[in-house]
Amino acid sequence: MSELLRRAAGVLLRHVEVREEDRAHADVRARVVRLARAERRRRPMRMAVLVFAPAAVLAAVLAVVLGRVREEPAVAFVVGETRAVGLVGGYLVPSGAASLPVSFSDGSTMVLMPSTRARVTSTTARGAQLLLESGRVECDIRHLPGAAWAVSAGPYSIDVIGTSFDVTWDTQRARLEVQMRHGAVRVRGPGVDDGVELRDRQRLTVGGDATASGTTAVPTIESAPVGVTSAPAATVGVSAARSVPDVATSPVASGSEGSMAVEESPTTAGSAEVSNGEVVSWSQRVARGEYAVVVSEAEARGIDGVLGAASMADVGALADAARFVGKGSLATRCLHTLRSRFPGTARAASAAFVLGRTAEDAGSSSTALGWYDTYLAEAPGGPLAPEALGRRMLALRRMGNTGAARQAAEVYLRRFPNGPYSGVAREMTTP
Amino acid sequence: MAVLHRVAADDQILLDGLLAGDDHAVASLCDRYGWQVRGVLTRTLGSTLDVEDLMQETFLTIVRKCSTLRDRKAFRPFVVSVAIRVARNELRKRALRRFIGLDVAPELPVTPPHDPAARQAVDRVYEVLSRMDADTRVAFVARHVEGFELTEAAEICGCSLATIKRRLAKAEKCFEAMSRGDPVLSKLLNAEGRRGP
Repeated sequence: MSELLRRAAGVLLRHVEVREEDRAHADVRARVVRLARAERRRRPMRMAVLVFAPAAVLAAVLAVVLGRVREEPAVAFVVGETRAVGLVGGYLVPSGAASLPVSFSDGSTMVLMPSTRARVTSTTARGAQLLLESGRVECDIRHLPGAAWAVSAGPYSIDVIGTSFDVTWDTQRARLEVQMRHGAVRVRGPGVDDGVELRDRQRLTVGGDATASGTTAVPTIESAPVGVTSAPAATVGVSAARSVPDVATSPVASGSEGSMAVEESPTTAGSAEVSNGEVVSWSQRVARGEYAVVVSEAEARGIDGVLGAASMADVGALADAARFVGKGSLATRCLHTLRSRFPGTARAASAAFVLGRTAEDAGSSSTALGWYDTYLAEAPGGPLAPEALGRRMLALRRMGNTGAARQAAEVYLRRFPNGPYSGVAREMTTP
Repeated sequence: MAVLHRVAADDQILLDGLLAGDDHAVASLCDRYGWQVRGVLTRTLGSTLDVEDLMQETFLTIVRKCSTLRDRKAFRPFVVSVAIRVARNELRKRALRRFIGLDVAPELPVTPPHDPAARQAVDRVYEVLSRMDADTRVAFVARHVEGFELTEAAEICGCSLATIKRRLAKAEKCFEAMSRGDPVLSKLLNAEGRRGP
């Protein structure tokens, strides 16, 4: 090995700090899980396209040849009381305190409230797309066969078939509010990645400060008559809430047992079960990256109560969720609870490891070292042993205990010659 | 804890989960290799700019390509090789951006923080690395920073054994030439040699 290159590498290994920030890591993890899942879903569709595309092309060619293709005109629209002809892509801005009506040729209307900025970005024979840049728009879309309307606001899109609803987009807070009057729409975007369906009189609020700070947005769906603003809110796990049924004004039982938000929303008689009855545990939510949902549910229920009575799995899931949204003190409480309430379990051992990580993040190598030793004593062959041994070795090096660090590196290499820390361990043991 | 607890017992189980399209396996991949991938990217690029986006690209590529892994026991080198290729592509893009004056990189964090000697040493080494082409630089990282054997490093960099040797020799010549003309760098590397691992 070239001595010069080894020395240069030594400088990088010794002095380049690789920070692992929990929030950033959680963000990457959630994005990767989500995108990988989306890719898996697209794959069968791609296969279908490959199989059916030639047939579709042939059919289209035949249709053209036989003169059966008749292009239908796109919907047109007029703007304001003067009914000026609207231009696709042109800005729609109400003047002063007046609202601005936009009327479409199929009978649909959109009314822009004062201070709103919007554009009709495209029109087809089946509908139009409105880009709401800021403000509020009241939509009344005619339910015609094959209708395809959409409203976009920031990163959100609302697909419409035929319905009346109001959309408010707060650019500053990146907050979307959709208030249904009747019909149904589907909303997609951050925090509602899989899409959430809204029906009569429901109101969705999503985004806001949570999104701005980089954490998962927590959508809330309220079922209340239009104009009622103080109705209790049901926090709904979005990936589970593919369809939120028609719910009459529904008080939410906030203190009920169990780890599922959806299952603890008893509704009035006659209302269907939220999220098609899918039971979603906190562990599942954490695996889906819905950390903020878990934390907010626990907080709504009362942290003391949760830590005192919740199952081991739920406390563990809450610990993860709290770490990933940056609530370090809550995470630490959960981890200590796991150790005190469930001693001798694998989870209690894992909690020791995570407490070590937390101490490392806080800059306390000696405390971290103690927790890693605890983990290794309780689970010497556990799944986190390579990590614990590797981090123990680095903690010793940071503390300046070169001899012990070297010994730890030798132990590491004996046990995990191809482990994730083997590169550093080799450097530390090379004379 | 649920996620940590779900970390697969070894890479084989993790790989099986990835091949089966299991979300938990994808999450475990990020948890288990997050720190290492971040390290490879940060040290190779000498920058933390966009590192989270590059981590995402690395992990998604691993998920997509894991079915092509021939040696199931070589999962870790596979992960590193993907990270290194992502870093190499990024180096090429950044070279172009630098050429047209668009590349602005934030300062790389060093440890101990605020130590002028550490800062100087890291800056000087990256100054030398910036004179190398992307292939030579990643060869140096794979062999000497990540500590892979020559054959593994060659595989990670997607080249032959002879080529990796040639690239490493080129890297060494680059350090030698820069050290000769830069007494500060020479002193720093000598001090690193005295310090030992």
